Amino acid sequence: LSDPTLRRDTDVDLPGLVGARWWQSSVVDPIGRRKTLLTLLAVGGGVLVTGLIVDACSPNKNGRKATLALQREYGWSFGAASESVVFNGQSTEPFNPERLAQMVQELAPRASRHRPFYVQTLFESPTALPKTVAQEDPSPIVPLKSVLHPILTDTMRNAYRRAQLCVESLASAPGTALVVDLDGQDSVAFAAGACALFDPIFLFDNWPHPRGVVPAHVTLAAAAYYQPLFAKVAETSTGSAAPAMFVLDDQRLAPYSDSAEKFDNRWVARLPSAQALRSLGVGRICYVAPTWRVPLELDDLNDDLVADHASGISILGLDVRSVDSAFPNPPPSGGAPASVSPATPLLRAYDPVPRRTPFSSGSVGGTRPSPSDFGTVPVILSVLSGALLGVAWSRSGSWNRSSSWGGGGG
Amino acid sequence: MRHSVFTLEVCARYDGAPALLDELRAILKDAPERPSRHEAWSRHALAAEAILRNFDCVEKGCWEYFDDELSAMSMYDDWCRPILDQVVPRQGPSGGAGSYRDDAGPRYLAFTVVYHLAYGSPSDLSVRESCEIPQADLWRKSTFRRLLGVVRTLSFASVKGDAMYMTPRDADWGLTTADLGGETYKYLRVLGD
Repeated sequence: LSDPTLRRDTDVDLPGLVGARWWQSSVVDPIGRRKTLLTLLAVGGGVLVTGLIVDACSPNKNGRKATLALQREYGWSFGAASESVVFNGQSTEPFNPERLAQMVQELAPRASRHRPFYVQTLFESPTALPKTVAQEDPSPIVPLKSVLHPILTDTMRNAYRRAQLCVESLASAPGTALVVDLDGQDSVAFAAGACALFDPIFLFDNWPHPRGVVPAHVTLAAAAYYQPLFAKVAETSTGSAAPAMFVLDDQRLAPYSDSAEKFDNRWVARLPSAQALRSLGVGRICYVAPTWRVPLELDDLNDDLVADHASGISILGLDVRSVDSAFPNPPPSGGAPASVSPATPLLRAYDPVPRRTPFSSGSVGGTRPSPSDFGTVPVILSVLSGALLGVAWSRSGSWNRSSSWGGGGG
Repeated sequence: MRHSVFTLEVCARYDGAPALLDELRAILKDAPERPSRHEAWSRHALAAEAILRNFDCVEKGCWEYFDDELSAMSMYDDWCRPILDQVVPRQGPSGGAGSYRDDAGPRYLAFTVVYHLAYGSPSDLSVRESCEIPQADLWRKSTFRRLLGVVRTLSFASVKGDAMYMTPRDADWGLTTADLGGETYKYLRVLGD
């Protein structure tokens, strides 16, 4: 009885799902093969046998798997191992690739009270190594850190400069938290420009991929550029009183139809609850957007901001471009801001209204929904073993877990 | 060899029984990669007993038994698909412990067992007999108690394959009332007394 006779062929260990399946090669057969064959023939088993043969000739099936879990298991460029990512605006400044191993630590919030809300997913990717090789994707996965180059683009320079111009004004009102929601690289640059007075809490919850819907590699490359600055500020900063600055990539919900050429590495923002924000001393949220628009926030933040507003937290919007007109006489490059008082109003009050979208419930206190296939990719699986064979770079198969997990009773 | 498939899923509110999630998680996480038949039986028996001890918290469920070959294989694949495809019903935490955004209301777990049985074996016959339930009693709590009891009597000498999974693993990823009201879980029925 103690001999191992079952073998696990698949398992999953994720926050939302844990489990496994086991098989054994031999079991007690109470009927016997001969009787089975006779029974099959007696009940028209010819059709059944034919069906089984056809099935055996097509031993693969299609399914979907969570993108990030796949990348963690099979490598960041899983399914496109021979492809890479392109970095426009590469920095020519000295760069030590070995420092990428400290990215998770050096970009962590300075204040311990902010650390529970830090999402370090993106910063884990440079040094992560695949655990398994997919059968039909045997090309070696090159570690991301070996292809990653820091970047400094014009938009990053602008975002950094604008942050430096307005940060004192933003920080002058007690209880202000920033939500920086620009293109990933610009959000990082803005955070770098404001990090002396605000504590950055990065929320980037995906990995880059050569065919990624979200260009996370650009965000990562920007983070690599500013990593020494963030680390230096963390070292020299006294105390941990700096208010929170949540940093997002506004490409996270980029439009995507299940394209054969794209890898769905989209993600949704995870902001603290209104209660948690209040416990952090937040009385107003300043939402930094690339432009003034209504609605101001992305769909996945609607439920959050509506709840925050309903709890008494005021919401203000900052069109990042307006910083230029608010501070018409900036100091020479590299200098300190000329004044903490903007020449024109910097912030506009914003009243978030519940709206129903694929990422928002449309009601006060509602639970944020999510499209069924969001953040997943189509894959090919072995019918016989359930083993993952590779990415299916085209849409096929109609099975959809969200439409039905099972059937009726007995 | 002809096969049958038996599946059972229960949905329990765990904010009223906080130890249940921890207990079931431990059973799943401690499961060896190559268990003996006795270890496999013990794992399933422990899980069934944990649920029976906390059965007051079970609110919904679903069970199936198929003994025609084609349906059985199809249903076995279908019920195993969540772990084969690693399809997580939630895309993010639902809250809890005050860390992240939490919506009001109870939190639920869904615990599932799936068995691929040798048709005509003692285990299959035991399950088959227990599944002969009048239509009016299909969704009664007493029926699910009885079926959980059968789990404890299975002989793994005639279990070709088994699967066990639970959502969530972590307490702050629990299913909300809204989750259970959506398309994903529409097959779960409210259990009556």
